[in-house]
Amino acid sequence: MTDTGTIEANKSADFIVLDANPLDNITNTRKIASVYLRGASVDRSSYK
Amino acid sequence: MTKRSLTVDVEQVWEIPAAAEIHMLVPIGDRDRMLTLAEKITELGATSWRPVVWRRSKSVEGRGEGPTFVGKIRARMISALTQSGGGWLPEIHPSAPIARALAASPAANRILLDANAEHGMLSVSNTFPMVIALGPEGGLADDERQQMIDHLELGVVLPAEAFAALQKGNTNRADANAFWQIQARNLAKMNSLNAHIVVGTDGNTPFAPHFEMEDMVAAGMTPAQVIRAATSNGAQFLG
Repeated sequence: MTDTGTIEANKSADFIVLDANPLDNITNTRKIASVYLRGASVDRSSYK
Repeated sequence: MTKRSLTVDVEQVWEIPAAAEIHMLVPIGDRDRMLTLAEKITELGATSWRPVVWRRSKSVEGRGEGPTFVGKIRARMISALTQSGGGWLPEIHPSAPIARALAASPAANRILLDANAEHGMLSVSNTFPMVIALGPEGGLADDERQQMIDHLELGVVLPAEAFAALQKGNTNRADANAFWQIQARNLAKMNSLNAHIVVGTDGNTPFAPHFEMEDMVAAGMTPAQVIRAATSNGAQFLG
């Protein structure tokens, strides 16, 4: 994946952190630990 | 027509496998009801259509019968097939009394759906071929229904409401699975040709895109390909 972006300090990025490797098993994409939107962690407690 | 020959370029060929074999014995009744039924039955992928003369059929005014009406049924089936993207038109058989209709049907799992049935919802064995006889509007007379059960091997009796539920949305697992198989094969084919695949969903249920992604892996894509389809491919597609 050479054409994708990088995650570094002071950059803006949307990404999720998973508890397990999704490349091992695609169902691991449901094991969401945290969500970042434009570099900031999203408080998910209000969505549950 | 003055031309004697015509050359046609075939640009695309779809292979649509036939759904599980289901023969429908439909009640002769009101024309509009029969046309609606023909449409639904085609969408559900039934194998054949045979109108049946029930006792109550004879009292219906303006009933759907005769060669002109068969033409209308056929036309309605063709438009339903086009709209639903199906590939198999139900074979239309001539009308017959129920005993003769069953004798002409293949040896099969026989089910009667009737509005007046007392049994309620019983579990239906999901074996094919299947013959489904639909009772007339208003249901069968008690003795007529008992005769079906005693002499004609119509194993399970369900109220016709079950069929109405089926008409609203196809919940038949066999059909759904067959449909999924087609989608999976198409996806695998496109993926093998390096097509750019983007994950999408029209479902609003939680994890709908995740189920979609799991199905895509089951269809033969690698998890890495699916994650790209769900992330960067979508971004590229939208520019």
